[in-house]
Amino acid sequence: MKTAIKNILKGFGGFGAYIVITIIVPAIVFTAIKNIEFQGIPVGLSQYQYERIVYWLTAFGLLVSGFAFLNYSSPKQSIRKGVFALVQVLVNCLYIWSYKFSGGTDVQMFIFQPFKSYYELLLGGSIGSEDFFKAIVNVLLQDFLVLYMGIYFLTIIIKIYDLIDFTLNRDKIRAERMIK
Amino acid sequence: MFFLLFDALQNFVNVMGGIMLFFFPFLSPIGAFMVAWISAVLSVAPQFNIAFYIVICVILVIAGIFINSYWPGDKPLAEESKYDEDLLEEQSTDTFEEEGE
Repeated sequence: MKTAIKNILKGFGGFGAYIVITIIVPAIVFTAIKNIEFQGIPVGLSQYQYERIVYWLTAFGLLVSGFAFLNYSSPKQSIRKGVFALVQVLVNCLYIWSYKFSGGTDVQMFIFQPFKSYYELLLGGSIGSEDFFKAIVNVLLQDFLVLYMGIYFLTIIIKIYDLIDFTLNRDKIRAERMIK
Repeated sequence: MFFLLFDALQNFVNVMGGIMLFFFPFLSPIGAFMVAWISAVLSVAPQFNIAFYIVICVILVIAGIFINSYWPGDKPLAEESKYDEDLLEEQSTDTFEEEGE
């Protein structure tokens, strides 16, 4: 019973950590991006974009955290830990990709600033586009995410190897665990 | 702009960029494959129904608690316990025989 409680507590530790990493921190970051204002005009995310991103991050963040609980609560080097760790990595892929398709990687900002103060511009008589500094900042992380997915594929291979190792050496691992 | 101000950070960014450019041709096709299966899974994922994901998360946590309560992983191997049982049986038989004599 003591081991069971220890396992469950470890599981809740992992669960809490993943809730913070996958839901709370991204939600705070995207809320900050949404609230970015330039001279009183919002330049960050629209309300629809923000809700869509936060929805998908929360949805997959919950799944990742759920599997993190199962993974972290499983005994060390057990077959079920191998299985849950593999599933968690696969769900993590969905989570990371949700940044892409929800629009989290395509943040666009428009900067439109006069070179002089509006008062000076008005004194000048005419206002033209040459009086303004214009810029569009695109944060496109799609290629970066594809590369990251490639790296994640290697993680999946490692998890599959772990699972095979845990299965083949089951008796030895269990005997070692009993000694400890 | 921030990165351009500091040489150390600029060098770090260059090194990271170099590593990423080196690995890009190898890892990018694998990434594209990953994107294909992920897109297939996401096409069937329920949209704008957060309760569905909350329920799944709760089910996973409860399942984890039950699994760990019944199989905490601290029981000896089945073969070992069978060996112990055999040993006990042998010992009890020996004792019985000794008493019989």
